[in-house]
Amino acid sequence: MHQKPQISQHKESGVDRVDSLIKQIKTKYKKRITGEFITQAKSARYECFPNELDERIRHALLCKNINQLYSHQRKAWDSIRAEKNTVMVTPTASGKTLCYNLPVLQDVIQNQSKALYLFPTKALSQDQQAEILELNKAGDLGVRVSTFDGDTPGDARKAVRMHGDIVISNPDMLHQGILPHHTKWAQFFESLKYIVIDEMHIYRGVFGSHVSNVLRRLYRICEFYGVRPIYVFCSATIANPEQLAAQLCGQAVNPITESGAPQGKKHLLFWNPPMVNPELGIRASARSQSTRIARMAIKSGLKNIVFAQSRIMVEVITKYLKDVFDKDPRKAPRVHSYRGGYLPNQRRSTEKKMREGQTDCVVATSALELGVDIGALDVCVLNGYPGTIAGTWQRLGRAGRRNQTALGIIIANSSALDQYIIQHPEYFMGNSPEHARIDPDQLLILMDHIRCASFELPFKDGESFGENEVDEFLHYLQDEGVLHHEARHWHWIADAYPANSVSLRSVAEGNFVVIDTTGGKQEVIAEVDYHGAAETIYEGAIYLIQAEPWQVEKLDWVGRKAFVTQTDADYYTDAIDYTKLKILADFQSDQNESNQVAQGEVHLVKRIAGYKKIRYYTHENVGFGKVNLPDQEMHTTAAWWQVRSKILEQTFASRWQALDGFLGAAYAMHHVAALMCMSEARDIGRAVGNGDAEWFATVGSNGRGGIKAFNGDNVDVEAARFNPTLFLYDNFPGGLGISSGLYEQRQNIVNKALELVGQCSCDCGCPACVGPILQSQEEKEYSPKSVALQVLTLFNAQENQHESIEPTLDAIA
Amino acid sequence: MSRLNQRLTLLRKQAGQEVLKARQLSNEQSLADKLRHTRVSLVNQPNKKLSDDALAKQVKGEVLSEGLIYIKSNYRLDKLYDNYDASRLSEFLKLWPESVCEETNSLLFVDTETTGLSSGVGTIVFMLGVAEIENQMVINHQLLLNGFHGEIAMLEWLNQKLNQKKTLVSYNGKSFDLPLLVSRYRLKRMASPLLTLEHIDLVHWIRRMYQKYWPDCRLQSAEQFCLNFHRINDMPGAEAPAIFSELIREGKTDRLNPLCQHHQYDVISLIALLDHVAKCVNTPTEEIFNVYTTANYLVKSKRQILARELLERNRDQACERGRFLLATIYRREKRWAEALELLHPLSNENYSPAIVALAKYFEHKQKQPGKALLYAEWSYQLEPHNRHIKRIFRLKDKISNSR
Repeated sequence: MHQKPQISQHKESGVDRVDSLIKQIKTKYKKRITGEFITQAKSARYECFPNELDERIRHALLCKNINQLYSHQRKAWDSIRAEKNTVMVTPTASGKTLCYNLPVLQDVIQNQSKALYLFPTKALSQDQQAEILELNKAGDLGVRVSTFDGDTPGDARKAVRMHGDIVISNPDMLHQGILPHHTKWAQFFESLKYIVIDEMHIYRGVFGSHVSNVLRRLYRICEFYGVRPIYVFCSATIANPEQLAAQLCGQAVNPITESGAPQGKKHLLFWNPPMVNPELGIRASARSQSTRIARMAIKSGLKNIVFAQSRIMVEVITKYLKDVFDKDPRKAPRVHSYRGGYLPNQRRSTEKKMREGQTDCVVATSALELGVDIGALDVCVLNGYPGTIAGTWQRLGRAGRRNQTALGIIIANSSALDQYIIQHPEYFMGNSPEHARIDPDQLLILMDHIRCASFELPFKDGESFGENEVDEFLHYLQDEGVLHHEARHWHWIADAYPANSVSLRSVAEGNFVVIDTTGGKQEVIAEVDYHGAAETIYEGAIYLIQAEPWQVEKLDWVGRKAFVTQTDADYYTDAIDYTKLKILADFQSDQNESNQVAQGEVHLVKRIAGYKKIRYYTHENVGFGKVNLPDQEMHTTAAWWQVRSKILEQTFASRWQALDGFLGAAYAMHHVAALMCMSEARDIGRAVGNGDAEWFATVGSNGRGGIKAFNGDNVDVEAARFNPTLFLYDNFPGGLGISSGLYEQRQNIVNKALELVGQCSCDCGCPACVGPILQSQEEKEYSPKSVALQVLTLFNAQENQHESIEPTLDAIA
Repeated sequence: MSRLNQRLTLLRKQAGQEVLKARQLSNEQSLADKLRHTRVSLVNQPNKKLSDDALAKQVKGEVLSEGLIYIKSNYRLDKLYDNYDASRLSEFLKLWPESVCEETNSLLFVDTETTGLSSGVGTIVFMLGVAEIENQMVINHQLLLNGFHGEIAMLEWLNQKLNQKKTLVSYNGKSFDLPLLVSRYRLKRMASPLLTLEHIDLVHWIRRMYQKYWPDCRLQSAEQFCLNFHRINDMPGAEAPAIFSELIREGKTDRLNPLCQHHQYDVISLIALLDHVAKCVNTPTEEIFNVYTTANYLVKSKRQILARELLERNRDQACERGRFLLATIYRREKRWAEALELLHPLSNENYSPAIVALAKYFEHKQKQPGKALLYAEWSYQLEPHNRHIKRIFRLKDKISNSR
């Protein structure tokens, strides 16, 4: 590509080494390749510099060997210069930063405008700053670029506020450090013209819902200083970039989705590790496969990168590779690792080695996923599916040079999601199925930000926040004693600084801290949301951080603290929960002769009665423990599936079988649902029960689906009213809009779950499809897998559809 | 309203938040009752608010404009707190190291009470105390807000005062009161000369002088240790936010007069403390350690000439550290003769920094490694420290190389 000139290193005598590696892999490991596809090389589409481009910037670009723009860069220029809010969706390494840097720099040097750049991580901010400074120097632009984050020293902060033309920060800092002190930033706000938000797809779920409210607050402050800045978003490929951008900033946004950057040929392989125990559905570890491929690549003289999911995994893979390639201490190391937790200069030095081609292999976490410039590589190995397709593409984008083939290999581990993806390469073709969802009006989140906004500027009677009339909220805050109403204004009166107690990563405060007490220390190592605490950090639980196990020794429920020590237990723990769900209201529903799907509000009570200890790999039960914690209560929204009882009776020999089927189907649908809405699996809850909350189903210690009343008493399956209901709910008080997305995608979810279970290569069910099963279950007259398939087929029946779609109501209204 | 209220309360409880601490009513009441209760109290609130006139009467002040009460009190400069005599203040200030004009009537002493102890734009100044000196009398002006709408008038009043003065005096005002006031002016879109005035923040002086000796450097500690003034039945300043809240929400004034009294003391103490600090700076012999601490403070705040002058005036009484500091200043000014004049006697007192300084002087300035070695070895005897050994070896090398 013309922007970052690279030297061809491995194209010799007409044979592309990447092509020969692909050939080698495909012949040797034919059975492990579950899919492949190729995106053909695409040549660049150029446009000339805009006429109005400032001479100094033109000069700076020429110094960097850039003499024309890619078509999307030019489109972005035109859109932003026309003062339109703009969202750009472009692949990795397509020169997206120029899309916003050019119009911003032009306005800064010609009109002394100011810009605020928001990045989700600190590391990214630094790289961006370096990039702008380079242009700045080349063109002698005199633009002052500063980062403002938690690391900015106190004495430098004033200078940033007074003199920064482009200030680079993150949403948390904007929320806690800038907006509550906006008067100190008066000069900056008075000339603020651009708000640039990169990596927009990160802002989804709880975080995204918070960030949209932080932007509402920002816009209010901008109005106070009499400015109306333009929003510029950049995003990885998702299904709904325009919608997400518009939701985040509350305004219409102009999308630019066609990239004009050139692309080399890309070869993508899907690799499933071989099955080592088909009965239990256990496969060889992804790690062993990743190291194998990395070894092959290095031996073929190809530069490669291995992405691992956790820091510990990075270290393990690095060690295995170093044992092979870096045995001789006299030679410069060929394998490097790169992850969070390393010192910045250590990371910079690794980045430099990679850029200059001095290293053959780098093993990294997602710390390297975003933006960091490391030059281009030949092969990219993903040790495990990164969780989102957008994230997968970003990582794969690391491999690829112009005019040469690049190879990406996705290696699945044995989790349901990975297994699903690895068997469905088609997900990567065509349009993205991933919808990034946020709920800016989630009641608790909204409330938190109205509180913060009141501190920043008194509300006037009748003012709105986003689309919301705020008077009722303000009355609530007055009752709470933090606001005072006087002369049509609502003044902050409490002796408190509200932003400090609002975290952008969780719904409401009340988080638990996890404290490491190993060897007498007292170190906070993690935070757990209140709603997740009861099922993850009960006393005796094995709590995993970055795949490292810790045991919870003591839980201080009132003080919101869990004390843990490091452990090397060979088991994990699984909470036994009794969940009672009651449907309060249908918002929308869809039914036919065999099934009914609906979405609405539910009331949920969850009791963690105990936990099972489950040995790794064999999944055998190695013990139980009791848990004594208060019941968790939640009003939230859910989507639910039911089958007409007549059909149920016709299909299943017994009610037990039907229950087993519902439980297995729930497991599969839960994982598919997480994929479709880009959520963590824990953001969605699942439950099977009777819609009227009379009983709920659980997998008992006998490995059988059973039903219990909430007090823990067994209920006679045959005698009870029997209307089993499969719930997938938003695992947040007040909901988060996930379930309405699930309802919209209801056909899709059932379809994909059917594929997941139907195509799983296990015999009677495994953790990759219907959940872990016990040895004993294999001897039953039916398999958990077959009954789950039957339930899913009933859900999928579509004949005589009478759809009744009502307007999507917010769960709260 | 009630639905949202109910809903929020419920969800916050489910999310693990504590709910409505202030208004937790007894359990027998149904939620509906509780809500009705809050409704009623809301309706009643506006009536409970005190009129400006009534409030002025309560605090023995007058209504300056709508929502703004003015309280004036006078003190004699020679009888602050009945027994502190600050009547020589202008005399002491003549030798004050900062470029303050010596006219005491150009000073403005400022302190505030606020709705919160945190910084940030949601905190406002509801009580402003400003004192000035005229003809050996102290006039203390207090402005009190009765609600939020009096704020603009208060800020305008302060601007007028500021325009007549040259120097502000505060206790911790540079990091608290002033930024807060600046923020208020910005929020009301008003200009202000606040930041253009000179500013003496006494907390910096008190810290320099006493930090090592006192448990803390709060204003009240300074009052007790420097002025021998002990407040009795004082209303703690931390109560201020609650007192203001009571006033404007419920019309309660029972703790307001004690707070006004507390705040007056805060301002009067600024005058007495300025007098005390100025006196110490001028006649540091009274408390001998002040010569050094004061001078050191001046050096660190890049006012070396003032530090030198102070040390020169008190050269004979100054402690070792003080004299060494003076020698260091001479050295930086390349006044070697005067520096040596101080360093030699100090070395005779076995004051090791002086001996090291002499070793360096002879090594680098005079290029006499032999003589330097004597001092270096002497310093090692006094203080067996590695860095001295390095010097000794280096000097020995130099000596053998030159032969």
